[in-house]
Order: sequence, then C-alpha cells, then structure tokens
Amino acid sequence: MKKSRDYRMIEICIKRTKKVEAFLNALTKNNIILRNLRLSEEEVRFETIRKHLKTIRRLRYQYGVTFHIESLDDNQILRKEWTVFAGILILLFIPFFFSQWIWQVSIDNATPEQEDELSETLHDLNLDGPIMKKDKPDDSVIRQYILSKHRDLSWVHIHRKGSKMSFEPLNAPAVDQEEEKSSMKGELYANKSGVITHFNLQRGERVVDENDAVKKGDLLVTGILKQGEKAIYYGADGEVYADYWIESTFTMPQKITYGTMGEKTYHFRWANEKKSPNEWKVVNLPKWLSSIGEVSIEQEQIDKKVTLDKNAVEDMIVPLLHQKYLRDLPPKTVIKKEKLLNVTIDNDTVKGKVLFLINENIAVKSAITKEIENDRTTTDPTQNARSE
Amino acid sequence: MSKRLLQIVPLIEIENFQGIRIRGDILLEAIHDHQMVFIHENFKIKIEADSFHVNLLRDELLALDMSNVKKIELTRIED
Repeated sequence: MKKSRDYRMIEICIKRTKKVEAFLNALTKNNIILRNLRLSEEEVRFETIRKHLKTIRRLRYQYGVTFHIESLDDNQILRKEWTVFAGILILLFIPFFFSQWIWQVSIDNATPEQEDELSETLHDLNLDGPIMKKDKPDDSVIRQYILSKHRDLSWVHIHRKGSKMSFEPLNAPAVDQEEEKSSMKGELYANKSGVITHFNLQRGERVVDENDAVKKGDLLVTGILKQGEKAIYYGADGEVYADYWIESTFTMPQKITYGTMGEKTYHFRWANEKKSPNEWKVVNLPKWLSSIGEVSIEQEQIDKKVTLDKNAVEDMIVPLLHQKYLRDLPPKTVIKKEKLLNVTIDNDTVKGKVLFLINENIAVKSAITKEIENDRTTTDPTQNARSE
Repeated sequence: MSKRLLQIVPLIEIENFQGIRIRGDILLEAIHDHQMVFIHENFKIKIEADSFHVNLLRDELLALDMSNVKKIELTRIED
C-alpha cells in the first residue's frame, strides 16, 4: 500500500556551491522529478515529493551539498488524499445521522403528578426514549391520545426543537368556587393601627379617608347603605392599605459563623456505585445514558466567620430582618423604609433596634350582625326585617 | 537520440521566447541568475535572460520559463 505521506510535496533549498549543477544532474539521473526550480544568488530551490528524500540525502553526502527541507503540505488544511475526504464525509455524516432521532422528551410547566401521569401516557405511545423522527406519529394524533387519557387537560402544546421534544399541558379552567365566600355580607375593620394610604375596594362605602390615622378595631369601609330611613345591606369587600411602624430589637454575638454554599461540581456516578451524601441535584440525562450512570451536582458548604461592627450590622443584619418580616407578612405587603435606631457592642454582644415602615392591607372582613345593625340604624325594626 | 518511447519529436521547441522545452539527454553545466548553460545531446546550449524558472526538470526533459531572453547559443561539441 502506498503511503500517502510519501507523496506529499516538499521544498528543498540548496546553498549555492560549485557542485550544485552536478548534484542536480545526479538527481535527474536517479529519476527524481524536480519542479518549480528557482534560482537566486545564494540558493537554488525546487519542489519534489517526500519519497525521494532518502536518495537526495545519499547524493547530498556524495556531492557535499547542504540543504534544508520545508514541507509544503503541512500548511495545507485539506490535502488531496482519500483519507481526508473520507474523514470529511464521516464528519458530515455523524451529525446528520444523529439528527434523525429525537433524543430528549421533556414535560414542561406541569405539576409533578401531571408529569408522572403524562410520562406514563408517553410511554404507552413509545415516545419516552430516543425515537426516530420518521417513526413519530403526527402531533395531532399524539395530542388527541393525551387529551383522551387526561380529561383534566384542555390542550397540550407540543414543541420540537432539533432533537428535543417538549410537552406543555394546559389545565382545563377550574370552576370558580369563590362566589360562595364573597356572598357573606360584611364590613371592613382595621386589624392594626396605622395611617391609611390607599383603598382597593370592590364594594362598600369608605368611612375613613386617606391619610387618616386609624386604630385597631375601627370601621374602615361600611357595607350598609342608608337611603333616608331605609338601610340596604350589600356588604363591603376589598383591601385598605395603611402605613405603620414595627420596632425590632436584636441581640447576637459579635463573632458569628454561618454556612454558605461553595462551588458547584459535577460528578459522574456509575449505576452500581453508591450515592454520595453531598449530592444536591441530579442532572437529567437521556434515558439510554441514565441506565449507565448518573451525573449529579454537588455543592460544598463553606463556613464563614464574621466579626460584626456597625457597618456590618447595616449591611448584613438589617437585610436579614427585612427578609424575615417580608416573609411573615401577607403578600402585597411593602416595606417602605428601614431605620437602624441604635447599635451597641458590649462584651462580644451586639444589640440593636431597627424600625420598619410597613405598608399592608389592614382590612379584615366581619359579618354584619344584628347588634351593629341596631346600633347604626334608628329606623323601625319591622322595616329592617323586611329589607333583610 | 532520445531513449524515450513516446515523444521523441520535436527535438527543440521555442515559444514566444518565453518558454523552452527540451527533450533528450540533458546535463546542466552552469546555472546562474541570468545565465544557464547545459549540454543537450551533442550541443552546448547557452541562454541569457533576465530570470529563469524551471517548471520541470527530470531525466530527459527540461521545461524552462524565461523572462526577457537576450541570447541563445548552440554550439556543437566536437569529439
């Protein structure tokens, strides 16, 4: 078999001596073909194939000629050789070959229960592993099958991106059962003291105005409409927001140690190996690969030590308290301001006081009872009974 | 005469004074920037030009490009 390397072109550069001509004659007499022979004052250059190098070296000693070799083909990216062409063909063929399959099937935006049920259905359809694209049934057929199996879904979006396929189920709209709740007629009272900032009412008539200070238990919004002597009970509903301050004190050691998460590292585990205790999250691998092993993300916990001073309290403790209050308070609550009142560091203990200005919905609904009704109406009781 | 089986004629080709192809027994005698001397069969050929570029040199063939040829001399070599 011919070695393709032997037929690669090289350039030989000979230093001029008196014997150059004789050397060139000797090369031609040894059946060596010289191409692109160029002449200059110091040197003679020509090209030939690598195969002749052995003969050229032998003759060079005979004629006492010095030369150096430059490889021409090495600079060429694609050599005219069948191995190179075969390599390119394989290179193009591999992605084309693998693109004929759907490798990953995922279920997005679904609850874990839905995900389990859906993956079972997909398994029935043979859509759970690597599948050939041409064997995949039409989207409408898949959708019809899924919807027939899952009555709680109104639609399934099927997305396909390259070799990935994802299913996104859409729940059928739930029947609204909140009607019953709101049917209770009531009035809105303050459950905290504060200054009213704004209203967000669906029903009812304001009893207090914005910027009014209210105390706990004050009536904010009434659900009784008076028309002359008549009272109509239509109930009040909505939110009333007010500002109030929370005072928070804290005491903690000056030197604190806390754990924080370190760098994430990826670990491969063979299927028969034991699980590592530090394992934090398992990377989703294609099914055919997950039978061999598992890739998990591990994250080490690092202990950090901090000595608190006044600045550190403001930078570290206040945001923590902020988060704590925000978590405990109902949604839609806003912490408008926070003020660090004082910090004292004494005997390795840090003590301090922080004020938070909170804006929260302070309205609570309370049913209209007969007593209230009697308190507020001076009309004939028989009339009230009628209107009720 | 040439020992080659195919292509023994023409013996000498000269085209536009830019290229010369010589077939037969060739022996280089002197190669310089502006002058080349070689022996072909029973002739000594001397060419003077501004520059030379040998496209191909092998046993019994010389393909030579020249720019601005000034002189070509053929001298029979006496025994």
